[in-house]
Amino acid sequence: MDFVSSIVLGLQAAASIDNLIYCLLGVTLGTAIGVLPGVGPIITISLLLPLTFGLPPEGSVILLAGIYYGAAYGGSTTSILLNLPGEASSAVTCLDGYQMARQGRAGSALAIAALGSFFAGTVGTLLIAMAAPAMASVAAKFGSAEYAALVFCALIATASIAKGGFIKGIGSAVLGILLGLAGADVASGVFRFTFGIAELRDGIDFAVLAVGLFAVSEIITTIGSTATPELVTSKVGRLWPNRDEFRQAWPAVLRGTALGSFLGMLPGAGLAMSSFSAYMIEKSISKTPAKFGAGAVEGVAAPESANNAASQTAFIPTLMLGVPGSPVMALFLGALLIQGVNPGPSMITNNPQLFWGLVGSMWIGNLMLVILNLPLIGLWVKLLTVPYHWLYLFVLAFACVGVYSIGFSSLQIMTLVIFGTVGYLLKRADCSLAMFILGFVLGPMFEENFRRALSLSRGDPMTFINRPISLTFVILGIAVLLAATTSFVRRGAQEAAD
Amino acid sequence: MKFNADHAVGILFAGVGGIAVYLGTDYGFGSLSEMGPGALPVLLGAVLFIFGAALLVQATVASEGAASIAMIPPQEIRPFLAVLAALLAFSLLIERVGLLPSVAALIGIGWLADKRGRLKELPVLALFILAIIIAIFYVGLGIPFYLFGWSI
Repeated sequence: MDFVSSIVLGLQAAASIDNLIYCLLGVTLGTAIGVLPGVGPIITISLLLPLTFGLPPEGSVILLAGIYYGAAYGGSTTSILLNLPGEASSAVTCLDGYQMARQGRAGSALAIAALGSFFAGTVGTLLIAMAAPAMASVAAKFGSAEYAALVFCALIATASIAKGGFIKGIGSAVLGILLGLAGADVASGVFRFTFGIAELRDGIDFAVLAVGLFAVSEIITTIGSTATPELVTSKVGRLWPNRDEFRQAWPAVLRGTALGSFLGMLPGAGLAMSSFSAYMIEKSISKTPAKFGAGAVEGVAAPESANNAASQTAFIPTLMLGVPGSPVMALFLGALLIQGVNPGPSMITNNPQLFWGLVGSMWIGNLMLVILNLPLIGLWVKLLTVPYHWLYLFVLAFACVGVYSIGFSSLQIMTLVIFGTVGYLLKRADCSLAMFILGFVLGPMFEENFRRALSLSRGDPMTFINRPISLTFVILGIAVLLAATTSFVRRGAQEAAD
Repeated sequence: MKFNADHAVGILFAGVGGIAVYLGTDYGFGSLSEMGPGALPVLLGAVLFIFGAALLVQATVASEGAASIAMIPPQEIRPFLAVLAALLAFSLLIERVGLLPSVAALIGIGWLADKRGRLKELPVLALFILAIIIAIFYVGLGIPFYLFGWSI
């Protein structure tokens, strides 16, 4: 199938009435949670996971994807108007966006952020459409050894920049993998880690785990930490940048888009890192670096384009390799598996409707976001007046009823209590919950491929080294591992010497 | 030496790793060419045990003379207990009294988590949340909950 007809198929699938509604619902929810501090895409997607059981596969992926890139979009609004980042990925936009707003240029800043994001979103979507089939044809050559080595490399790379440090990051991932192994072993039928509890034989329910780890622990820490935000709404002003601002913005948008598109595909890099590095690059190449922090147009254009581009290209490894690079993508992958869709190189040929429909919906969704964000800006700012001590009760009720509706079993809620406690304690001990969920999602895939690779090579572990692609992943993984552990040891030695 | 969060994590990693190795040998390691169900638990458990031990050593070295870190900040004890109690109450009630009373109990107990909540807001807030929950799950998604009682 050629490129043009694929795109047409995608747009057709995405433009069906049902899918348009899912897309609109997704980007609206995404914008809303992007605006609200304390409720992010991870919580929202985990809360909606139980509900996607009943949706058609296309509808559920379009909805969840819309929430994800919509939040990257909506987070900029409050950064610019209130100096209050709704999402971590928009924190850097505060620096210059809020300054622009204080100078009465809030409208320009919002428009630059929205148009830059739209441009980046369009490029990101096109990149998925072009790069995904190419990556799929490479991935189709992957055998078990390559997949096992890829997961190994991806987990180590992600852990090396995880919150709380490498050792705790990789340890959390291993904890996640072990938990993911609970239940019947596919190959032998032996029940593992079930401790005689019959309900555990099917393994841990992904949706319950996600809600417990992320939503419950996040509610607890947010209640404990939120100071009531001060509302200093600045006037939006003229909603269109002038010619000068345009001239300054577009090269920054191009650079931000390029950087974000690249970083989005790497495991662990994520949105916050792409917007932050885009800002740093703009500042360092600028002829007038002193303007940064005082309302530089580039300081809004580059990071906003970068985080939106990254939010799109993050789908490429998730969909084509089945290896997510961030916790949100891990949740997205979990949602696909719940729907019985196996991500991987065969997804384009087996589910063209789903894949191209998702790509088409992303472009339509980006277009919807420009409309949602610019003229409706006042509405979103109003949302901020909802106090968190009302909001968390709704989130809690929604989480509980959603989880209960999966299996109509009160045991699921008990499981939720356990994972809520575990998630909270791990978070407080500075262990990365993101690594934990990545390990949980990737664990079964790793085990299957690891065992198969070794059985194909008749027990010869050289199989991971004799194959060039697998060798590359192994070398990359070990290099990062060595770099991370030596810095760990050096830090320990230094502290001992002090 | 002062006990801090890293010690706790080190003990957790080493403990879980040790259990995984023990249970894994029970499930059967098999051989390299034909790995049994216990192979991955043994291998990963060993890795986790080593990381846990390394963390313990590092934390002990690093915490020499340092003040011990409280794992749970005092302002989070109240939300921690209230949120978990609310979930627990929901799980105990849902199969006995039905959806609406259970959610009401959840909201009532959960409300205690944040001291900024005002009592006179609670009834209106609770009714509002109940209405949205019914609208989404019962009416919108058509999930056959028992709104009141379990088997009326």
